[in-house]
Amino acid sequence: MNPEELKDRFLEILTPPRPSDWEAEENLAPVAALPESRQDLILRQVGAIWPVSNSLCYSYLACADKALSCLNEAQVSGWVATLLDIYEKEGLKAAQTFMADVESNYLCLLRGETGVRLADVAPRLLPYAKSILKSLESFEKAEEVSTDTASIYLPGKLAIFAGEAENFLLYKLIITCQLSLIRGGTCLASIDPAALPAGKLPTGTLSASITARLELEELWNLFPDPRLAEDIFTLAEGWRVSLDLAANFPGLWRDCHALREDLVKRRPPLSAMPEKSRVVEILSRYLISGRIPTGHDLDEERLHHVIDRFDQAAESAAESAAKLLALYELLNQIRGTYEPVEPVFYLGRLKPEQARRVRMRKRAGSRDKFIKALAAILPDSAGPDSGEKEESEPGKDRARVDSEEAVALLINRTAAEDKTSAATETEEDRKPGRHIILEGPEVELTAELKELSSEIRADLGQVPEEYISAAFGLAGKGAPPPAGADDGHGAGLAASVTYDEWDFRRRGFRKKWCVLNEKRVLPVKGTFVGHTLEKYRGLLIKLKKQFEMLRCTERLLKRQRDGDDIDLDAVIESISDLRAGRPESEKLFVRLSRDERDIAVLFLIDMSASTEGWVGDALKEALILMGEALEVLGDRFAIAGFSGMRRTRADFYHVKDFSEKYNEEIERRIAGIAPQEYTRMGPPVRHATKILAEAEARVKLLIVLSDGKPEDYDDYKGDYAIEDTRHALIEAKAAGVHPFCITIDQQAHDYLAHMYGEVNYIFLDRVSDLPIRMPAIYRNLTT
Amino acid sequence: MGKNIQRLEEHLITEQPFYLPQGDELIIGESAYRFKIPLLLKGPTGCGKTRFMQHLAWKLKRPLVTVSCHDDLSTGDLVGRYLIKGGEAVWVDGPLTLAVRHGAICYLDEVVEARKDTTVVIHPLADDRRELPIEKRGELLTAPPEFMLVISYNPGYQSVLKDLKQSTRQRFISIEFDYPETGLETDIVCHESGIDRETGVLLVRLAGMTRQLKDEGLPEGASTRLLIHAAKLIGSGMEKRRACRAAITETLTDEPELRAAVSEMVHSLF
Repeated sequence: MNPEELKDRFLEILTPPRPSDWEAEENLAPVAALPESRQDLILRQVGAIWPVSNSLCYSYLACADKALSCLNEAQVSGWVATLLDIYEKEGLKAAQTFMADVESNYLCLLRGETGVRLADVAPRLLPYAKSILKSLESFEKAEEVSTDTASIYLPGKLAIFAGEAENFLLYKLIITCQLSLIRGGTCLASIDPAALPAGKLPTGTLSASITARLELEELWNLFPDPRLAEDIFTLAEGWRVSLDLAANFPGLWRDCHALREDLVKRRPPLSAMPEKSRVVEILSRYLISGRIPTGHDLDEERLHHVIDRFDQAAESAAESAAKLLALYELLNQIRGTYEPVEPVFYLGRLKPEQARRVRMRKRAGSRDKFIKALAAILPDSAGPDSGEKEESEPGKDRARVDSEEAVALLINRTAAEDKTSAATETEEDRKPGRHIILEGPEVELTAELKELSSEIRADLGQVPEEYISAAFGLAGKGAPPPAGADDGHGAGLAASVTYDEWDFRRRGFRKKWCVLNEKRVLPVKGTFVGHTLEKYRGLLIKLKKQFEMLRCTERLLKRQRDGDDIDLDAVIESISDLRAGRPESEKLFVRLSRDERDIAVLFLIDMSASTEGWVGDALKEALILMGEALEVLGDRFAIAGFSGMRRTRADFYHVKDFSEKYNEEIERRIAGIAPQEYTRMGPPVRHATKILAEAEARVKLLIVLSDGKPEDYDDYKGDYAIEDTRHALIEAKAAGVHPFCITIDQQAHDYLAHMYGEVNYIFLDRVSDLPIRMPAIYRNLTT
Repeated sequence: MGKNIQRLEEHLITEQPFYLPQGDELIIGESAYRFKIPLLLKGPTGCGKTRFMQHLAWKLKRPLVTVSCHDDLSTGDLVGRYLIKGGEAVWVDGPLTLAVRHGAICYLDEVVEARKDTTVVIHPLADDRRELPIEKRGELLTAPPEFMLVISYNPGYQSVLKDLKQSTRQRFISIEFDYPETGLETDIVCHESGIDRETGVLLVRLAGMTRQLKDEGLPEGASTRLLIHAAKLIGSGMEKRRACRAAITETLTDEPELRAAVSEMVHSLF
């Protein structure tokens, strides 16, 4: 292809917004010189990548040739699917890194050669980690092992050992080890200088001059060689961790025995190190394997001293600090410099700074939550207009200060009670402090608030007073306006939900692609409902009768082997049989059978602009007839409509929920159903599936009413839209929901059977049939 | 009638069932018996509700009639029915009637599993009338002071359909059960299975870890009962990891990733 052709092909594939000509040309430059077959192969993938990210698509074009040179044709689409997964999970940069080295990032994995990836083990190990430490948030990729107490940082891939099992085990060891560091309070430790052995502080530092508690870095910086101090302290804490793991996770520790031996073998040789480093290296190896290596060429007696001191148990970071002092002194007797040794792989380096940052973040988070939670239960102390500028009455202010003090006292006292240290408190103090009495109304401390305040107290000792006054300030301003205000079409309900969307070209999901908002259709007063009921009066009477027949009443099963009551006929027969010398029957009971209709059905209505006019009216008529009929039948049913525009706004309109009774209000809402925008079928079907999955019923039915093809403003068209809809329906089936689609169109199309599945749809060309056909369809479906 | 009494004797617990109280539940149970108020036990599965009842029945020296409720349980199953024996219709008391007639303790286990129209038969029994009408016989039984009604359910399921109606639940004194605290649970596991304390401690720690996963997709953590099962397998000489897999991992969940996570816990501990 010449550049011009190539550009046209390229622009043809793209969905709007398309780039300008020059932009396309510029980005196609790396592809332009390639042979046509290669160009073709590259362009074929553009359709899947472009809609997800334009910049990713450009990066893809830039390095596609190099990447494809190591892939064969069959592997390309799989590679692109992985690429998109990585982009959605980790962003553009990670995707670019992935593309840069096809050999090691993709092919090796395909061949199952190298190592284990964090992404693959995380689903398994994250719940494991959370079972040990509930507050752990995530695993993050990093070159070096460390933790900031909220996350554990690990290499994205481990390929240290040949076997997959060993690499996995190493991940597990790192995680358990880091969790032990967090649980032992290493990172957030601060050392009380008074608790350190007197006179042992390094020369040049006067212990008397330090009064405040020392953060770990401050402690290390007291020493002439801070890095040596850090390494010794880390090893001392590592020893604490090792003892913890050996005692509390004996299985893991045993499993890792061979692995730890192996890790020792992989450490750099002792001979090349200066003497000080050699000692630290020996300590590192001793920490890993529990054995002292030979051939170190050191003074045996001194080494024994060091190991002896290192070996002593330490209960806390403070004791490790004392150990550091002693060991540093011993090492200081050795001449020469210290070159940092490689950290113990699973221990990594301590990151107290990061841990403190997380603590600040958590502190700020719980402060905000606390203030909000407290403000929510406080009576509006200063009246609704307190936010306004107003001359304050001194008395009011006084009252507010009093209440603030009372609350502060109360919240901090609740804490004291929990610790059951009531001995010294007066009778008055010991009254249960679980609710606040302020200006009349009585407020109970919520469970959330209690938990938050105990969390804050665990961190800071007590709940600071400014938290409480801030809450009072917030309470005075009144509650924030409820989220999701009326936008004209319907009232917004809950927060929006995101759904994946199926991309058939990629044979995978676009993750969290669509945003779905739940809304409620606003009722419309009018004559529509009355007219409909009048128009179909005859049909309605017939329908009600038919549906009444469907309603399953309790029936007695006769001649059962056991049951609730005696079947008198059978007994008489049996006695007469006996008298007559024939074998008597044993089936002498009647049993009450309740084959209840345990059905939940959700009608999902297309509210796209194309239903404007008589299609929409017929839909609404059909719904009203169904509503009337189902009321008689007693099946639980819900009605919802959908429309929307682009992936960021799929609207899901609630007309009737399962829990609501069918009444005039609902009828008015049905009348209020009005054409909106486009037909993006996937997200509403997925949402309806979710609603049905939560409903309690033996049979769950999803009836979708639409006209024509699914279509949205963006690239949701043609095959893509059909395949996504089809996939959403398959997902519904997998979730135990029976989907059934009713399509109203001028003529039948080939795609219908593919999209809906052969037996799961019906096609109506005469829209006026719908109100008559729909109840019949429903009857057939549910009997 | 003589036969009935004999049947009831079978329900008398003669040997003291092993039970370590978690709190004041025995005092509440005995008080409820004394004041003739029915008892509602709630708590997760396998935390000792049934064992508590056996112990209480033994202590009160009353037979314990247990009915495991299910959604096909009919009023007839509880109250009794006519059976044909040798060409004659004979009335046979159901477990509830049996207990009322002879002053036993009737324990309806997992009562929310029964249909609501079945559970209403206990209403007149559960208030101060303490009566059981037997419609089919036209008989109205009044419960003797020794009779006691106990129901149990697991609030953890949180299903709208499986909730206890207010009109039912407000007749009861309630005791809330939870898994025993660590030391106590270890004692229980060791006593029930006869394993060494060290293994017991690890098993209880494993249970604690699985219970942390409640918000991560595991509907419920490993119960004390599961721990005892695992401990018994271990006691019989089975390899510890194998025993935990059989008794705990595979029993808890079918979800592959969670199962893998639980299996990692087991491998870390044993």
